[in-house]
Amino acid sequence: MPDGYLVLVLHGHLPYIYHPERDDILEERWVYEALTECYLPLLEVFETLIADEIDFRITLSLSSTLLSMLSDETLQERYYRHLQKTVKLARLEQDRLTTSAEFKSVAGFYLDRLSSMLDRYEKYRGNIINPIKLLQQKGYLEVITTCSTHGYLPLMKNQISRRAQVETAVDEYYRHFGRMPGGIWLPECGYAPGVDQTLRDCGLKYFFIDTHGIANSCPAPVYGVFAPVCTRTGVAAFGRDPESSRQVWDRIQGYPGDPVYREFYRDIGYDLDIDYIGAFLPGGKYRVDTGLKYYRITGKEVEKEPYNPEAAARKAAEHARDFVARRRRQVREAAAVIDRRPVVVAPYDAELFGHWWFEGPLWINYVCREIAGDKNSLRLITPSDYLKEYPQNQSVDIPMCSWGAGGYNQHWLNPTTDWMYKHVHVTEDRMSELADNNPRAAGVEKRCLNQCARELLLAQSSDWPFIVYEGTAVDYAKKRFKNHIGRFNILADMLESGRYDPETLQEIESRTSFLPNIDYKVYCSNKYVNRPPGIKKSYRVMMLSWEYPPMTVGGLARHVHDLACALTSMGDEVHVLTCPAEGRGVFSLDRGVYVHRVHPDKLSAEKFIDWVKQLNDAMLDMSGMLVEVFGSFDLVHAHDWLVGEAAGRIADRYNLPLVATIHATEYGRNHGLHNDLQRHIHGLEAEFARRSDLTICCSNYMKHEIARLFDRPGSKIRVIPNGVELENIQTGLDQTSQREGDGKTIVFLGRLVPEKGVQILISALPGIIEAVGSVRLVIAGKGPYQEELKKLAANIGVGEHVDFIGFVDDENRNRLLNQAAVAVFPSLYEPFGIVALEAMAAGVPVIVSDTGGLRDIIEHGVDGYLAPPGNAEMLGYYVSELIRHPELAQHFSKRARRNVLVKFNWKQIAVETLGVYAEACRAGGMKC
Amino acid sequence: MVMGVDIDRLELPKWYDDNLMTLLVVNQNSIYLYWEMCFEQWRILNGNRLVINLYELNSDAEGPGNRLVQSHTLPPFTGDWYFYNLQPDRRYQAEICYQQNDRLISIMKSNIVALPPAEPYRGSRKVEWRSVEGINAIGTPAKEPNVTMKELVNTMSFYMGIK
Repeated sequence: MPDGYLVLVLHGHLPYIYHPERDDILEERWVYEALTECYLPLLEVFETLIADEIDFRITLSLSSTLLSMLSDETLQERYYRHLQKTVKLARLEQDRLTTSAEFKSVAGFYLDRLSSMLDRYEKYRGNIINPIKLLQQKGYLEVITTCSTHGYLPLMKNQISRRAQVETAVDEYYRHFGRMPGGIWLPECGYAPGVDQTLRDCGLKYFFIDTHGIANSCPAPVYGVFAPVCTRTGVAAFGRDPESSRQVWDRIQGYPGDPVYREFYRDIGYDLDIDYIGAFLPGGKYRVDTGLKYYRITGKEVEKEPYNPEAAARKAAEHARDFVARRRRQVREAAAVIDRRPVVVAPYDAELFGHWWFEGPLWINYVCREIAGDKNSLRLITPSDYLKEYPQNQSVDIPMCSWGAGGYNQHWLNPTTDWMYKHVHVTEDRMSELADNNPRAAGVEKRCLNQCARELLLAQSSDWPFIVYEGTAVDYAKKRFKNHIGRFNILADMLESGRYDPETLQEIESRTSFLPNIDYKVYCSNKYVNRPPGIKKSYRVMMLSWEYPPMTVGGLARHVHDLACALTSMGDEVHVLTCPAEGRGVFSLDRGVYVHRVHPDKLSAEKFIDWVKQLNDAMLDMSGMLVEVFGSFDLVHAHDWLVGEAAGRIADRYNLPLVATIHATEYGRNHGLHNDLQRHIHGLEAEFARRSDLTICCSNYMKHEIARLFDRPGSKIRVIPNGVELENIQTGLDQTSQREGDGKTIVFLGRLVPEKGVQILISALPGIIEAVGSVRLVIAGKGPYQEELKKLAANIGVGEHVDFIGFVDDENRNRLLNQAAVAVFPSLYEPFGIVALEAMAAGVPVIVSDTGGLRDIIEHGVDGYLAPPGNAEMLGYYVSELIRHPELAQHFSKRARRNVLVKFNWKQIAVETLGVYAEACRAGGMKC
Repeated sequence: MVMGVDIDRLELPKWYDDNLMTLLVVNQNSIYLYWEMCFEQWRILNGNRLVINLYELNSDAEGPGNRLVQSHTLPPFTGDWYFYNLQPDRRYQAEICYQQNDRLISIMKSNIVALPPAEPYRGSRKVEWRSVEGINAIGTPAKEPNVTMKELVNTMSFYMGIK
């Protein structure tokens, strides 16, 4: 067995530079150059190695844009003609230089080489994907994917856009290779936290990041870059080895800069007389590279000397021996201090080999032969095979990173390129909205949507900002970016207006035959309603909650109900254990959810703590019956401390993982612990949190609170927002007429307790009335603070402007929201705020306190306002603004409703919850 | 050219008539912000000069303890801004305000971004191991490593120099 391994990665990508409408676009020559100088020579190397029975393993990533261009028949034909023409030029050159002692052999070298390329291309019948596929089938190559148009993920606005880049790439890969890719090359190794979730969702097992991404991970990787790490979502990350990178990439000290190697910039396309060379240049006059270059690098500021292919080949062999010797030393040293076979990851752009570094493919040839000569020290391996040998890897959090200059995002985001991002982000949002609004499009509508998706993907290509920043083909890149955004907007306007112009659509479609099977629904925000890959087909869940409809006091009942229903719709079997409810028996089947209610006779205690004990004892008894009747369960999911004791005991008795959802804390509700009961409850909450294998909460605010109060590590807490069922929120109901002289209606919904801050809203009323005239504040809810609030309203002279209408059911809630000019939730403590979501879903402009979980719901100034908590003056200001400026309010409410659909839908929440279940089961060593 | 438009020579929209505000990470020390306001918002502002504030957020939770680290009065017709000299591994949020009498009214807030760390983690978080999803092992799982960070740093050239 070897001391260690080398993963050699070649990343193949070109931007989509194919222009079917014209054959004189200069940039299309990039494809021709890459074929002639890189891809065909690499294939020759691979096939020669096989013929010589040299075993090798190389990882090759191919972007969808490249796959698309390489498989396009028109482009294949164009390249074939170009190659024939180049061979003709090489023949002419051989004749021209037949008497030149210096250049005769080089000319002959090119003629032989290009003729060989032509034969090879004819052998492949113009499609080089087939031989690549064959090499993968034989096990020599592992072909992986990269983002569809090489979109740079860290600068995309949202997960939907990232997912679309990855998912369309995976689909295109499958179309060409008939199987799923094992891993992905992240464009520019650009990673941001959360990208791993997207990769996991698309079934990808590994990716690559730059060295500092590994080095700066948390906790520090114990193996450094000599082993992959694993993200929390279970995707492996391989880190680039800096030493092997420097040897190839470094402009000055790297191998490609050796004076013996071919000089890139001296090409006969620039050197020779236009009368002679013009026939082989675009338009007969535009000087470009022909690929025939007769000089070697020689040195700086010296006259260039003739290129000697044999000397260059000898140098390539020497460099290959050097490279391999250093890798052998590296793995030997690493193997001495780590207890597994180390892996050195050496990734490069494929186009470096042959195009920028002409001798590159030859070097790869020699590297493979050198390694094959001694398999005991170093062996080539693919990432998948390495992970099969070492499936367990250190779990870390990887920070944002890239392999761009500087190590982060500045190569793509800087003063020359920053203007692009507003446009691409707006387009991302618009695409997602179009997809959501047209879930079952057909005919011309579907064509429009699919083309919109293509245009967005192409606009997101990282090549455009890269080219602009590098200052190479700037005008071309800018034009491409603008055209893709512009074409998207033309089509989006058609979709939104319903007025289609088939001729325009046809014209736009004709510009890109890219991703022929694209499905615009990849941009639907609710698309990922499938079970995450790799988890159990169905969980049998014992869900404990003291509240469940129709027994509804706060938001907990609604949450548990909606979650249970969403899980059931995904195929899970959910058994809710809960309190008695008037008019309901001990068992019911509610939308597929099994609801088991404790018998009322079991809850006879007068004292609250005794009552809680009885409830928990009854639930424990009930669990025994459930296991007997339904069989074993997979886990227990308990909501809040009230059922914590039962949850812990059930989990212990049946050896089940326990997931706890903490919706709010006693400390938070009371701004501290002020009496024995609160301290007692706090103790029970702490025990509940600590007993659970994983804790779920609804907001980042709650996560910090739980971590702080209960000394719970953040790694054991998962944030999953609450949701709202849009079907339950009806908009556009007929508005009931308002009372004469009432003015606009301001609405509050919720419990009447001090933490809900209604007193702040009432205190703000005088200022609001002064600013906008008469208003009516409708307070829907009940609670012990109601009398205090009434007194306050009377004392400050606004009693006649305030209506306390009590608890409202769903229908009346909807009716109330439809009357409202604005909904206000001025909470002083709020873990989440489901009612705010309901108001947003109803299209009512919303103002909430800038506190707790409400911050996660509203984007201040974009879809609502966040008012400083407890500040009646500012609360009044924002309320007045929205009443005075209904157009602005309309902007907000439109965005708000959209955000609810995207971020807070129950299907998405159920999927995230399933992820937590799987994690909890895995931690407990169970099949998940 | 179709619909009177040359689809190969298109221009970008000048305006989206919407309230937008997005922060993007440039590198470990700097952030880029762009924004736009809808026509109605501009009308409401009535020519008031805008101020942009950048807050460094509490590591614990967002709240009044957030620290104002930069504040700039915006020149007219500005739609974006770079913030430099920030601390790595911290979270930031920007806010646009305008002055009304003696108070600063907040109009819009951006998303929150987290700047990446600029150096290796030096804390004491426990080392944990997990399987890569979907990979079937062909051998026995690796044992937990028995090497300290000090040993690693002292023997592997890549890490040398890391203090």
